[in-house]
Amino acid sequence: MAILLTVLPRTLILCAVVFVAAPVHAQEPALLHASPPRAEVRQPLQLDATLVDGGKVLEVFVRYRGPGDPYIQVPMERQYGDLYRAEIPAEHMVAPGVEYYVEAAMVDGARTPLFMTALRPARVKVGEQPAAPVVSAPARPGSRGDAPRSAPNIDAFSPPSGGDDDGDSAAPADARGTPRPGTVTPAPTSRGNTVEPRTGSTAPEVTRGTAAPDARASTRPEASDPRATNNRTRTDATDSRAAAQPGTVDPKSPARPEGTDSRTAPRTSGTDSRGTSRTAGTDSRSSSRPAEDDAMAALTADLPPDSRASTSRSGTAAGSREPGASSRSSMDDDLALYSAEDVLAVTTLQEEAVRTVPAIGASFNRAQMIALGARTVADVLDVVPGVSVSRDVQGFHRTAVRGLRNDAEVLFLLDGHRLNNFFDGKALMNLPVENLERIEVIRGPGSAIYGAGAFLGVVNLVTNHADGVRGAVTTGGVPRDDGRLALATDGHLSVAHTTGDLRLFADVDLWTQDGDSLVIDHDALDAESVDQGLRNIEDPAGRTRDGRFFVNAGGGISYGLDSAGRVGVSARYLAEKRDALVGLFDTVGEDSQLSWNVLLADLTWDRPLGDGGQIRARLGFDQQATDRRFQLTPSDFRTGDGLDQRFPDGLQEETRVTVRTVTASVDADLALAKENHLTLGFVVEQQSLSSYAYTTNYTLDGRLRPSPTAPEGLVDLTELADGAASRRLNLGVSAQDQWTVLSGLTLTFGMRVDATQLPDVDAAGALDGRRTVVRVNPRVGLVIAASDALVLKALYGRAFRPPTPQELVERIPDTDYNQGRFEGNPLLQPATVDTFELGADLIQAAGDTRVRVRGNAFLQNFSSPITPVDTSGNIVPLRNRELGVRVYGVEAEARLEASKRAAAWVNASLSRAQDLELPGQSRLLTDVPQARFNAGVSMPLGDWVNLDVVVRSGAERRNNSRSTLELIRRYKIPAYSLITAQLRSEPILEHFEVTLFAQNLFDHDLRDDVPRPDRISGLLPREGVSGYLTLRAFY
Amino acid sequence: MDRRFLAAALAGLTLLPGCLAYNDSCAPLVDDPDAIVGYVGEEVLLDKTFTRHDNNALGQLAADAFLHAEDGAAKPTELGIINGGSLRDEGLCVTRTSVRTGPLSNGVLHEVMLFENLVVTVDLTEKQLVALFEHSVATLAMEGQAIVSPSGAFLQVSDGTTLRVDCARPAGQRVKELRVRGRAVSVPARDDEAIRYRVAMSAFVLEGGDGYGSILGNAGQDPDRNPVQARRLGGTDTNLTAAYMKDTYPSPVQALKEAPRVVFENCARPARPVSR
Repeated sequence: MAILLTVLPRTLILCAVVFVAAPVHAQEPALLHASPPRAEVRQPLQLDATLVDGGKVLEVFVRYRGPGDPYIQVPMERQYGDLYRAEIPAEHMVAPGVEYYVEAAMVDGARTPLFMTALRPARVKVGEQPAAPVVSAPARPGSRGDAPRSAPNIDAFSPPSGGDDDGDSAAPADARGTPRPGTVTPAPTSRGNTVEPRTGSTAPEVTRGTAAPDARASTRPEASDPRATNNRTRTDATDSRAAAQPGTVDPKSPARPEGTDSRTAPRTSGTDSRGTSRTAGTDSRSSSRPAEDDAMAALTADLPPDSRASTSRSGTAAGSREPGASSRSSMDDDLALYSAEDVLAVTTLQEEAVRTVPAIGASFNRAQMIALGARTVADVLDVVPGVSVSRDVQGFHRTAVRGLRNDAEVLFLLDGHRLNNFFDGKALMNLPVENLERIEVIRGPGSAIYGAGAFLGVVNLVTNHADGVRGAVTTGGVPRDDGRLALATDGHLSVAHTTGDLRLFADVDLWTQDGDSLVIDHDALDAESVDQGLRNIEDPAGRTRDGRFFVNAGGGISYGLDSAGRVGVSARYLAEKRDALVGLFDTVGEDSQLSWNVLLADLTWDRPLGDGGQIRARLGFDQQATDRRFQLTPSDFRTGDGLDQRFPDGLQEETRVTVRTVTASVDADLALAKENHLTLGFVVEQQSLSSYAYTTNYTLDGRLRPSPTAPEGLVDLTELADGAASRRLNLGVSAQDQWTVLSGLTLTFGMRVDATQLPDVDAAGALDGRRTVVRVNPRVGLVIAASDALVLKALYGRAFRPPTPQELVERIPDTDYNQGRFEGNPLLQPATVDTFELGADLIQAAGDTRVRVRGNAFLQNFSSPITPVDTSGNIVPLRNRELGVRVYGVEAEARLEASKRAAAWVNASLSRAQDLELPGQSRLLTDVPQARFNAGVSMPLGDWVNLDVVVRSGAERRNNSRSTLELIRRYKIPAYSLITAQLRSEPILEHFEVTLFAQNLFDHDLRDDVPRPDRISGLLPREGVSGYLTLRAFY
Repeated sequence: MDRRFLAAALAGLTLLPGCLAYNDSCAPLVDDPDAIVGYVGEEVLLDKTFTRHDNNALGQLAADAFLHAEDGAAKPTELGIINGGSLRDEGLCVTRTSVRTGPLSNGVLHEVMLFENLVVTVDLTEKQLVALFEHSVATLAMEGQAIVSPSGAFLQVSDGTTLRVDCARPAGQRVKELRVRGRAVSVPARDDEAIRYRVAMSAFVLEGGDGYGSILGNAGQDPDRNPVQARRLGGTDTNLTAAYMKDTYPSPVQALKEAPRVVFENCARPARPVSR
């Protein structure tokens, strides 16, 4: 009931907003028009369109261009009523195609894009699809791909609404072989349209209908002479781009040179989990597209670097290069118009549409992240259905997936490089989003490709390597309750450049914040502090501290070695210094300091294979050093009357840990047959705990030490049983096959075998060496494109995660002051999870409004999960919960795009987690919200400003009751709704954007759970309202 | 049409709250929560200062129950102990600051002693026994000091045992006098392995809980110490206590009352409500 009362009213308000938003697009002129996928050579192309709400429109123009040409403008003549018509003259209708967009001259003199934009024009392929070798290289006019297959198929008058043309076109268009007619293309979304152009990096595909939705798949089979062509092509492409730009009349073109390389650069490293593997993808694609690429490269020259390459399209459509399948791909392209339709590379190591990927995932591109008013990765993750982000007393952000929360069980990758710390599994993941091109999230075990750790979910953070210069500055802060503003500022600068075969990028993020300071009324030392006169009885125990300084700097270089592939080297340094939000466990330690330094380095190589596949290798190194110093008591605290029992700086403990990982991996994509695509991988990883130091400034009997020292009885983990616990070798072999049995049916079979070294114990339970644990993790996926509008998925996967060294062996001597720890247990077994998922994805279009609905149900069975459960109040060893944990639930999301600037989305998730070891009445795990509801709406306010509102709601949380202690440490966190609102400018002078936003707008008093609610009875207060101003610039 | 979808989404949404489920934290821990297990002759305060820094009637009841857990065994048990931390005031739904005079229900008893620890009887050396009590009283506050966060390690003792503590002395030498079943224990303890005391305690303490690990070592596994786990009634502390109470304090006339088994000298004492 509580959630009903708390969440729903706001929800309803939001929905009201959504309903209001839907017709918002009506305020601005819109064009009902469908771009013909293909036209005949040397035949004038007639374009018809219906203008809606054209009251302020003076004139309508079509601006078109041929390959490498500047835009040429022709007016659209009004025929009758609101029907407008224009014609692209025959002489410009040459292969490979033309691009155009429609613009309106308004009464006030402004120009408004009505259909697509200069940056993302509609593309019409001219001539026949070159099934056979086509055209000569820098094909300018004249080159042709004879024998037009289909006549220009312009269906300008698709029903404005309710017509549901989608259904038809969705139908087995494959059979027809004709490109999908009459797709009503919505007004250009900044996100969507990019899709297809970006496709073939160097080898852009031509328009929808062109088949080859999946560049890789499609190109692979016939790649003629990959290497040779490949490099030449790339070079040419680059040149042609270079040539194209200066010549471009359209002022917008140079505006975003980043676009230039959007095809290549972003993919270069980011996306792909295997570093430059993406590059290879690019190459392989280009390789198979010898000729027309060069020409089309000119067309694509200035596309913005939107993440979503149409490469996105999956293996599902793999066979679609067949003419018969072309409409399938055209549908895919249309789907890709949704910003919600984003790509995931994390599942198959290749970019695939979220829609068809054999996993339940989500992906957020830059535009979406900006529209969310997100500053950090945590802000973004918190709106993913099924995911909740909370904080703990130490200030860590903790990601819960489908009702369970465990740091070591969500795999975080930064450009494919694991961020989770070997020692404790935590990841320094809360990066600013300015540097990110996209965030990919998989709920449930990711795929057979990832081994240990991809357990509850996988989050891949992909940095932006698009050519160009980008900068952003955000400043603002949190008004504290004493009236002062706690400042928060962050800056971002990134540069990337491609010259010939050489690609370079460098970026830096700086973040500094004073942080909110909220009252903690009670802690475990209330009585002592008052008794010792450290504070008055009416004073609070302390305040939260949330200061943070963060640096993220990275750079890389890659070079194409002709036929030998591409090598790249990249490095990144992350450093964070921050306060503990409250303290270690149950006391406020305002002088705690936590620092975390991460160095990541990768050497990558990739090369296309003759059959269109590719091979990638990566050598990765990382080092993480954490230094966590907690103040356990207030300053001047006394543990007794003795001289050495007074602690001027409070009792303190410090844990310094350094871990290193060296990884070598090789993987290969092989096209076994046209519709069969095999990914093989082999990875060797040596993880080590290179230093471990735990020191305290007090003795076990509570006396001051002259200098911090390891307490008596502390074991050096690095030397334990000759390093058995501190070094771990993992070997992983994976194979995943995606087989498109029929055009609409793709099967995925995957298998990952991991051999992981874990400590071994003798009969007495003492460590005495290492053993190797072998785990086999299968994955099966069935993706059915029942129609073009509907995709169904059935998935099964198993994943495992070994215990961390901390869980295995860390034992901190117990004192009255450093509580809250569990004792390492060398007997711990790896935990495994079996996941069953059913998903459906539906697209509906009506007029220029589109709705996507996506839903899935899941069942996860966790065997021998490792869960810290305090059973006795004493330090207890961790153990596997023998009867396991079961989670099931549903997740759903819907997105509506009404016009280029008006969109609304909602998602909701419901899960139920049960610890099967417990009696019925205390089985439910309820410490993360069982139900989440998130919604957002973006709408234009006039010509220059957009309003984005995002609501995040969560159901009431309560303590678990897995043990008697948990049962009596009661807390109840009411349902919450947090609102983020922002005003966002349209691009100003083509180079700037300004955003003014507020998080937690209504200053909702959100709390998170604490481990000892009986002691910190007010729980953990979270950030209140905060406001920021962001200026972004891009060149 | 888009609105149709939205409407459907909203309809789905309204169903969400109905799907939420939470554990019933008020569900009684036993099948017969209302069954009367015995009578309490005076109010028993459950605040930590009363369970961990003073004699406590329910603690003494449990210690007595432990003492009789192995009645009939060849070697009689001489002492029962329970750590004060085993007696809780949190309750299941509401904090239960005291147990009122009158009948005590099985449900309430299980809320007060809710850990359901097993009871084990084992032989201890005199050294161990004395060390046990030294640890028990090591952190008691001296007279004039406030009693803050009293340690759950404080032991309540069974009938026939008297412990005299002097809080003015340093920790480790606070036990002034100890009599077990009328038999005086030498303080300081004699270093003679042959002198054994048969003591019943919870498995929690025996396994090292509350800091007793270094004193008890592996006594729970050592056959020489003859550890015997209680079998009656599942062998849990609460069940044994309930059964013992039923037998011993069955009526308002024969009701449970606190006895001055631990004698505090120079120690801070919790302030009892005036009515008492």
